[in-house]
Amino acid sequence: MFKLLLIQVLFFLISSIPAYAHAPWGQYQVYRQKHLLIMSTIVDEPTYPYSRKLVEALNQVLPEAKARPARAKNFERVHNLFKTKQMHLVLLSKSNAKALLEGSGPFSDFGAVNVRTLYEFGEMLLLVQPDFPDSHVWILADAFKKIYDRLPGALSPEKMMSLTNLHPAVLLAIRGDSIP
Amino acid sequence: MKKIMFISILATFTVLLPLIAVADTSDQKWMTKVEVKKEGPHCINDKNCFNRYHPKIKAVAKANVGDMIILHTRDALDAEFTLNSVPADVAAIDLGLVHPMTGPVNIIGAKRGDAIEVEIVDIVPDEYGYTVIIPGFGFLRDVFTEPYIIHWQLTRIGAVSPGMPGITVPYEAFPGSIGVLPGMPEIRKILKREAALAGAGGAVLTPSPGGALPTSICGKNGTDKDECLRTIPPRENGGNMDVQQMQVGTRILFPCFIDGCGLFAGDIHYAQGDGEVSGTAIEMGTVTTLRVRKIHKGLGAKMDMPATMGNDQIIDMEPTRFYQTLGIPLKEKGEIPPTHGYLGGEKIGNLENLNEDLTIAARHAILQMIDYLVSVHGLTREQAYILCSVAVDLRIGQVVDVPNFIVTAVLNLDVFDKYRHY
Repeated sequence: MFKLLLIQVLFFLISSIPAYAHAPWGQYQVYRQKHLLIMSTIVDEPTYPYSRKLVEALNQVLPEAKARPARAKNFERVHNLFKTKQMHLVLLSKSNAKALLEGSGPFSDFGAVNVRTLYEFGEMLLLVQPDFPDSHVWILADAFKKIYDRLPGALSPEKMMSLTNLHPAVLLAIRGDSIP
Repeated sequence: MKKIMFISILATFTVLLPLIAVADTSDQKWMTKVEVKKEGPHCINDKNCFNRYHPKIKAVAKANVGDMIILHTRDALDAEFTLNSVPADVAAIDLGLVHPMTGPVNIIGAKRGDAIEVEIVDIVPDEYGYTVIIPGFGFLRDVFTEPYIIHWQLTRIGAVSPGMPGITVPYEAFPGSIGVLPGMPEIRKILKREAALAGAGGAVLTPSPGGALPTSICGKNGTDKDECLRTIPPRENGGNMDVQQMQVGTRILFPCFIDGCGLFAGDIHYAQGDGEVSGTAIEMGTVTTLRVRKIHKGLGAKMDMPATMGNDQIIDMEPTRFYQTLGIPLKEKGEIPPTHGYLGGEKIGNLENLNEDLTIAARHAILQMIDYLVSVHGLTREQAYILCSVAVDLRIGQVVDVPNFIVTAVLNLDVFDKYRHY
């Protein structure tokens, strides 16, 4: 009961950023902060359709997150929105996720970005900003732990434990530790 | 015998050939042209494109009075969308790229303090256009909070969309943005007053180097990055005026703030209602032709703002049938619309009726129009908002009958049948 209350409080905090911020572009940032946006990209084809599945599943178990898909037009936009922390989550194929981390391949012109893995879905990884609050990461990992069998290709929580570069709060959630 | 026939045929051709050549008029020329083409897919790839205002931005061409200035222009969001775009794409756009302008073109003989009279000669639309709802932007940004996109298929007969079945929006193109470069005195004055407004909570975009072009002047390491004006607000130099009466055939007087004036255009709209309430019109790329008809010596120094001159263009745009809603400054008790947040809520928050307030009256009128489009024409609320943005005109009824000034919303009912061309 306490946990549920805490979850509600946390997502209320995300969504309670003043909607009356005045600068029009500032309001656009407010939208990005009010919703849990899962970024994908057109040029990494499987990511957008899968991000929609993630959004649908998340909104069933975490309606407070108000999850939405956001599709970047190319890898440069992915890099820009992630590096500037306008987006906190991005779904990429494994090879592109590695390239983002290393600043190689399609990201070689833009540089490396520090990322952590939040969950693995078959050939795709959901990446998160390393400084995204531990509590938020825990809530999301806990949600995936509950719904992974509804998401095609998603690793079981047990197998997730063996991944490298996991966000530390993911391990806490999978082990059943309390929310940080 | 064959030889005689061959000679006869040859002779006939020889006689007729000049006549055939004369019959083709395409080689008859009288225009002098200055053409500024697009280079590359986006503004960043194009030396003829910029998206901030500063007098140091160099002219890419020069033109004489009377020359046809042909500008290949980009859409407001710099080719962000395609026919396959979805609302999720609107959530991941880069607003630092707004608005790509083509130019500037210096007008030979124009000096600071003069005014140039610019005629809009022609606007050739791309095949594709779009209208979007951008979260946090637009007149009803507190009501329509989710991203949305409508794709338009454009011809000069009308704009149609699979997302707006049964609707054809007539072609009434004009430059959303057209203007001249500000000078340094204007830049300083504008920055000062806009900073003061921003400090008071106003909706102001201060200089921002992210995505700014040209990078050498306005980008992150640009020489003048703190003085490059954003293109969103219209100002004394024109720019993003979004005034649909600036149709082909009209002439706009611009005061010149630098020698050569620095004429530019972009963000051309296929059609737009007065108000552009969703924040976007039917946005498109074009080939737009302008012509400077006259330099008015010394006139610019006496002008506050640009002015438009026209003939019957304003009549041609009028609907033959219309539906009109009437708005007065009414709102819900406790409601503080986003346009009024910076004024503070203490005084107006609990009022249902505001005093002599055209903005709230316009809001009242457009909300009623959306209700009408939904209930009578079966549109979704998002479709209705989009249609209001491209085909509904907000007009001032009166500004005397205190406290209830009236703004009306006029829907061109022709969109439902007159121009249909499936």
